[in-house]
Amino acid sequence: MTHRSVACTAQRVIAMVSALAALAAVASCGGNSSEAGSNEKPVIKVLVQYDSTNRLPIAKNQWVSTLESKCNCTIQWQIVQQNAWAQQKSAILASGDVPDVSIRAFNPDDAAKFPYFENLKPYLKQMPNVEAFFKENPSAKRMVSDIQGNLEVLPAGMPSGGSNQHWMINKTWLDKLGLSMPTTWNELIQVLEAFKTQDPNGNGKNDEIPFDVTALGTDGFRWYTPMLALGSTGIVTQAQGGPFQDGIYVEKGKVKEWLTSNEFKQTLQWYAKLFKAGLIPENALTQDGSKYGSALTGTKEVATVGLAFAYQPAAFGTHANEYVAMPVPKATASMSDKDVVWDASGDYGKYENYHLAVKKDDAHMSNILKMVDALYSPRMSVEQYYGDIPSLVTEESTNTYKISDKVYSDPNVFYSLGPCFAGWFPESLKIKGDPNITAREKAEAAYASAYGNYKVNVDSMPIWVKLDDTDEKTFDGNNTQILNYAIPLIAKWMNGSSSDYGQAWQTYVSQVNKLGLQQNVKLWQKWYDKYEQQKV
Amino acid sequence: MGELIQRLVDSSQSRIVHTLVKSWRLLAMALPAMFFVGLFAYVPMYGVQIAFREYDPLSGLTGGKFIGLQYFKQFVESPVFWNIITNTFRISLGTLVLGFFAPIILALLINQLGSQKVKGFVQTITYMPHFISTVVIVSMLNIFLDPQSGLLGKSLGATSVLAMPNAFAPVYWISEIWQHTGWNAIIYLAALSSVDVSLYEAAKMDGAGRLQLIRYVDLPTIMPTCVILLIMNMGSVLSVGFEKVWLMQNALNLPASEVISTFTYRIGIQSFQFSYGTAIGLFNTMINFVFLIIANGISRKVTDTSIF
Amino acid sequence: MDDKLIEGGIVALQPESSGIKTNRHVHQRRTAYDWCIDVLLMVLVAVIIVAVVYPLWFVVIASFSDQTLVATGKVTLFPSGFTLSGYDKIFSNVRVWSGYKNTLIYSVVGTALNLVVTMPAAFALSRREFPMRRMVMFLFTFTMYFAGGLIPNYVLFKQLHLLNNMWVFILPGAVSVWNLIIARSFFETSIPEDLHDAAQLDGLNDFSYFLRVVIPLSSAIVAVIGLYYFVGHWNDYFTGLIYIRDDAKQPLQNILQSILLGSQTQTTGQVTAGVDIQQLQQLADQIKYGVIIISTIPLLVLYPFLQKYFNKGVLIGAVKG
Repeated sequence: MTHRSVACTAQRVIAMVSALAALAAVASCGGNSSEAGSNEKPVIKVLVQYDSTNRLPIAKNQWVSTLESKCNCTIQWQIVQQNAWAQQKSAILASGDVPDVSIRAFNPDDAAKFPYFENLKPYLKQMPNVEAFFKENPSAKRMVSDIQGNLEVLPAGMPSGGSNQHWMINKTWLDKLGLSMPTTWNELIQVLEAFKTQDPNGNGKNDEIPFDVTALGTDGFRWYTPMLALGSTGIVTQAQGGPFQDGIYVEKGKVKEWLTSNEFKQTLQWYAKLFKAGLIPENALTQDGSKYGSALTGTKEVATVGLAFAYQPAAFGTHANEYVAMPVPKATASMSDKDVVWDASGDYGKYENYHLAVKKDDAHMSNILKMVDALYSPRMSVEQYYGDIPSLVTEESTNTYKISDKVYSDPNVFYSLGPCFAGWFPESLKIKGDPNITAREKAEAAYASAYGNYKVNVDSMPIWVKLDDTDEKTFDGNNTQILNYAIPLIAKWMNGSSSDYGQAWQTYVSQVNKLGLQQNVKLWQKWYDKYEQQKV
Repeated sequence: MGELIQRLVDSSQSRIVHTLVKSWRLLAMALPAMFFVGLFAYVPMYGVQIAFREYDPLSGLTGGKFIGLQYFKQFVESPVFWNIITNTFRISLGTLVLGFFAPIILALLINQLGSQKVKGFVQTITYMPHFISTVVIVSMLNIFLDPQSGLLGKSLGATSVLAMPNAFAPVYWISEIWQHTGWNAIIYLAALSSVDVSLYEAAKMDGAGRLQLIRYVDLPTIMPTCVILLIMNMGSVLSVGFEKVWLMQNALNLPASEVISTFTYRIGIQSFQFSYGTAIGLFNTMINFVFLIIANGISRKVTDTSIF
Repeated sequence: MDDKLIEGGIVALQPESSGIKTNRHVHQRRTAYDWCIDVLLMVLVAVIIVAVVYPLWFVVIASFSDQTLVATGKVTLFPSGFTLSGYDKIFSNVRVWSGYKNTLIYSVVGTALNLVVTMPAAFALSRREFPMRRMVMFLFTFTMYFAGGLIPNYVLFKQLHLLNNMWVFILPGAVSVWNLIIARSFFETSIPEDLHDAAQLDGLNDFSYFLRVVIPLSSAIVAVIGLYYFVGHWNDYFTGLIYIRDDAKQPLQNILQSILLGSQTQTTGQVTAGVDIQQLQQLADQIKYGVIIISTIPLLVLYPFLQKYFNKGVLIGAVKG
């Protein structure tokens, strides 16, 4: 009896194991079969870093087969998710295992630090589309070139320029409460008070969030940072890129830091006022990004947010039509209208400096050059960005394309690469029917006068100024320490839990300087000057 | 052939051969495991040398100028060093202590329940949170602790506890306990299930009450398991899971939430300082290992249970 | 022959287990003290259950509720703004299903290999006659605390052609030293040495002793270790994150994380093309609770099947055998 049951168990175990082994064999076959097909064409590995959560698999796009025939090669796509990229990038760079072509993966800094990428300057002649891009947008070329003019990474040129950073205010609420658009910080406080107390969304509940802001990140002042409000004090912000994110700005060709400036102090004090009056949610500075994003969309029935930094009304979901861009308010009524400025990082949004890199000494260079040139043709740029012609985009004439409603009909389905593409949109190209472009242009119009109050690249860091490898290291090292020290303090001043601008502020100023803030300013000044003298 | 082996065995000089011949079956059983560990754990260890070299992409992991302990020095002398070490200790020590006792208590408690059905039910319920991923746990913390709308946050004052440096470690401990106690109790329950029923009966005959049964029967049964788990946990005194802390960090709690693993990530992964990052990681490992050796040694002396 | 062996092994335990019969009659009176403890126990357990269940219940109701109401704290006990749109989005997402399939394959195959490698090794190392046992154990344990790190691993995997390959989920983690130690200490403490002596007398070698005597007596530990491994595979996120560059090979956890973490990128600043961030955000909000539920259910289903092994006394099982 006992013996039988033992033997049975043993048999069962063995049977189970062998069944599993069989399953493993089947599974492994399934995994390998796709690599079996071989032909004469060279196989090019193309890595794309993007968020494919809600995108169609890239190989399903028709333009991909066009691309393969243009380069006379077979493309093996490697997809890396945005949130996995930091880790994979590190492993790839440390081990030198770079793919033949990388889209939206490595930036000029990486290329300067690691000797894995081909200098594309000598090949530009063989890529007329890329050459045309650079001819029309010289700053895009300077952005990716080092001081000697070598370039290892190609940028992308987005369909519309301008900053993605805007004050967006609920116009419906303003109208309902009979308020006019605020023009100063104090007027803005009165408007927000009214938003808070007068139930502008009319649902009888006190659920209005007069002003919502994003948390302060320990990695700097980035997209939608509350410090965009510095524009009201005359400091030109660049929230989308460059050293502004780490506390540095430019005024009349002189590099400065704003982390210890009076304007910054003034901004912190204004925010403290808002926090204390309950006009900004208490926990705004610690909330995660997801809460900010979903708060903006309000409830199903009503909008709940009065004011926020966003790129355009669509951020507010179903209540988008209630919002408009608010022009920059003045910090004080006594300021001249000429003193207010607005975010200068438009070029960081229009050109992204990390969209295509080629492996050094690649065995199939000629195929790759053909591929790159094909990618940067206007027509394929459109297809990469929006989707296939003619199923999703209609080519009305050579340079005019109409986007089908399908492209944006479901906000959760994207067909092609979108802004993760490697290509560019020439001025001569007409895109019809892209609601994002129209909405952004409308939002940008509110800032026209503020944009006119400063000189781009003299009062802002030009996108092409970068540090060399050694200085970059010093800068990064200083920065980690400065931000780790400063951000918690800044958050306290900002939400009003500390109002000590005497002793504590002095300590803060001397500490950040000790940690290298002034050195950082000098480094950027050095390279700003070097690029100023550069012959273009 | 057999004769030859026999002769080898007989010869007094070849005790090793003797042992090998005698226990080759045992060796064969351990061989696959030794192979995998050798290949996937020992082979990559050559890579730690970049902690002592200045990483140079042209010469790879094993090239680069040898600079000795410079990066270790840099870390120890960096102004953030003590802050990071203290934070790491606070978070991990609390997790270790609470995480050691809570599952034992829970297992003893569940074991006291009379009916098998209730036992199974409680066990199934308490282990469930273990399967929830860190990302979700952290977003649940955010929701529950929100001072305006969160169920717990509402009663904890106007400032979010997630923004208070002092509250960071306790929030971390409690959520760890909540998530893993039921799961970690499984191993103790398995041990308890092997208690011979007659032992209980015998003890009851001697007039032992419920608490005495726990004290004299249950506890001794799970003691070896407890000791092994404690030793192994000791080895992680200075390691705090990266992902959870990283996701829980925000500007306000940073003074209490920057730990070695998040700092290593910032240095090694985000800013590509591979050598410095590896050196910090190695420093961390060394300290953990010292703790492990000490714990193992004490345990071998005191309780006669040890890992190696 | 074998019958005798097992009985021989059990005989040693007979004197103790004979107590069971005698004690039937000595059913003790329940004292007030005992009763008090029972009540206390019940209250304690009830509190624990509520503390554990409520957050889980919250995930369930949140998955059926309007996300704006969830984010603003208006969902507490029952779903409000009932909607199935989250589930609708999940079920129509191709990547979720392919992730599901991958995870299932990796977990099943991986766990099978884990058990086949770990169990014999744990047994062998539990035997005192294993040559250089402490040395070998030290070498195993050492790897729990000391590793080459991400980059040497990456280089090794590349040489072994494991990059972007399903086996990277299975082979490198074939042995978890932690689980090996647990299994080993089980073999040491719960399998009586008498059984081994009897087996030797019977002429069984270590292979057959392990397969025919030890394993049948160890269903509990096999179940526990198997479950540990399975859960480890199921929740493995790191492997896919670092070594896989093909959505079709990603396991569920990575798909899930990329949906949920898509929202985090805004704060970590990895995003530059931010145009569709907020739309991604809304998608993530809608489906995150539903995804937790869908990804967790298989493990919850698995557990009760294995649980019976935990409750079954190991040696008692052999007696009844």
